[in-house]
Amino acid sequence: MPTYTLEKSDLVPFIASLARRYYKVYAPVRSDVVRLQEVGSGENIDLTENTYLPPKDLFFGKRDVLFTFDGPAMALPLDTVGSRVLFGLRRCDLNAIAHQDLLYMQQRRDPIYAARREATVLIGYHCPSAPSPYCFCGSMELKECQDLMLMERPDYFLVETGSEKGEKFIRSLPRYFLTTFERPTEDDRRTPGTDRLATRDIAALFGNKLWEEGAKKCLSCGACTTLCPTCYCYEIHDEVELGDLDRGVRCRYWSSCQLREFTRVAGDYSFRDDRIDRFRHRIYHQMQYFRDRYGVNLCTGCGRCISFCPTRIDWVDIVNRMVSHASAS
Amino acid sequence: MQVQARDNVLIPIPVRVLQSVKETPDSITLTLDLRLNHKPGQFMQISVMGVGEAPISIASWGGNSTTLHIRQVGNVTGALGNCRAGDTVFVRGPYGNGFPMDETWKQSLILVGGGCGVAPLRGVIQHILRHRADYGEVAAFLGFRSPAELIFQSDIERWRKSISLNVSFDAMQEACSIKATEGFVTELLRQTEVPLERTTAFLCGPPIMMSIASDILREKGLPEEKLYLSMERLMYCGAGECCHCMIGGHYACVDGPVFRWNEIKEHVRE
Repeated sequence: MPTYTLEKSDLVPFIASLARRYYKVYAPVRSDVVRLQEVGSGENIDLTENTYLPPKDLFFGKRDVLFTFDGPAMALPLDTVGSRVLFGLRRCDLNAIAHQDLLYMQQRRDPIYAARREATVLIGYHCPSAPSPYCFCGSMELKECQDLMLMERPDYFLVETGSEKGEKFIRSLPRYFLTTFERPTEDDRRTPGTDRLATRDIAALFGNKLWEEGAKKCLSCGACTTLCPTCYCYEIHDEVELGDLDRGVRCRYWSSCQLREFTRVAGDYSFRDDRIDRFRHRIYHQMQYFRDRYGVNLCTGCGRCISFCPTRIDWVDIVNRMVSHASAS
Repeated sequence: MQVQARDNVLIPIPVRVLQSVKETPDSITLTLDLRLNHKPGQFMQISVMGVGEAPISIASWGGNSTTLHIRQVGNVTGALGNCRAGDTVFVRGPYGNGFPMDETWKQSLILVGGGCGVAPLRGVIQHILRHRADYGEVAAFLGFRSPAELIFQSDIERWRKSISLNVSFDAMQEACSIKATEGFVTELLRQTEVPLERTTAFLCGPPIMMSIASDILREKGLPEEKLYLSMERLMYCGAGECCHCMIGGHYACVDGPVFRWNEIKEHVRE
């Protein structure tokens, strides 16, 4: 892929120029925490840490209207998506988008997801150092799946395109990008200190007693699945208008496998009633079940499920100890 | 053929209810004006707008209409209990793999159903009756809690002419108009001689019933890979996305609901 440079001193006018050309531009901005926020210029962009929340909601919404109904009449929502740029996404979150694409673009084209996805340019920012001590992307065999990737240099960003969309983007903004012969090095493709997980193959560890240790601390709060950039489970419910029960909307909402309700059927029977079954199920879905089906681990190693867990359950550490116990015995 | 609206699998289409029969105090059989090309054991998502959607096994096979048997145990099924002929309901599907009617061609079958788990087996039996000469011996074991809970009574009387049919009631306080024994259907299965040569068993019912019936059939000498279970799970999408129906790494909605015993044996009672 061709490479370019973008001067750091040009960042503010560059983002301002994007904000004029695109319907919306999102970039990491620090408020209470660093969030991906709509910006008009580049002044407040903060690239020192990854965003607290992943960009998932911008494609796979916390609540998406599938259709509206009025008695037996149904109508699809008019969900027009303006063109957007997401700036400063980390490789973990970019890979997470690629994994959701496998479901909502490739296995089946979900019209809501696809419209948002196709209207969006993804600009990545490569982590020069691990933004959190819980990052483990270095163990997850991440791929390049951005439209553009920015790599840290003293006075400029080295920019690599990753798609035809990225090439077109560069051509549309010639004044900011200079062609260069500098190529990303091996170090540009990894982040030091992030190879933390001893194995991605946990199939043989299912019956290991150490899972209990995590389950004992688990509050079943669902923070891990809510903050996960890849978790794609959903549920569907109807919302009716107050005063007219025949009119309403059918919506799709995020769902969490950590809650008892996730498998509860009529008659109040829950198939994963024990906390350990729910705790372990999430990790097996992330590490094994998804790979069995789609050929890639669902998890991308962002570490949010550990760093923002209220009881700080470090499942990566748990797996590592299972592996070291197994090799010691 | 898939029934869905536009390009979104999650959007159902309206169909007319042709007939609504109250089978038991808490269940209803709806006949829908819908011609489907489906396999016995597949299911539909049926909605009541404003209430929600529920996955229901198709209780018929062939013909110009589609039959769903619905027990009123939840919000959506409760609302469907008020459905009358001429009403409109919303459906999408069929979903799931269904029973392996092709692999069992020319073989003998054991069918074990409990309660509303008998509904998908009705489709299996209708398929068998249509092709009766192409299947070997067929032994069906249908269990209900009490005579008041009996469903498809007139069908059962008709089926007796073509297949070996055994009906049991867990308790028989009330008078019963059909030939049946008292006790769990699994006990009836244990005491009855069944074909085992080139035989496949289809099970559908409460997890505990399927678990015990599986043990009995394996003790009788039926190989594990000849045992098929139809599993019930909470599901929303039907398309292998929402993940609520996952049994280990399997999706009940696309890999199931019918599973071979050895695929899911750790999870039968989970």
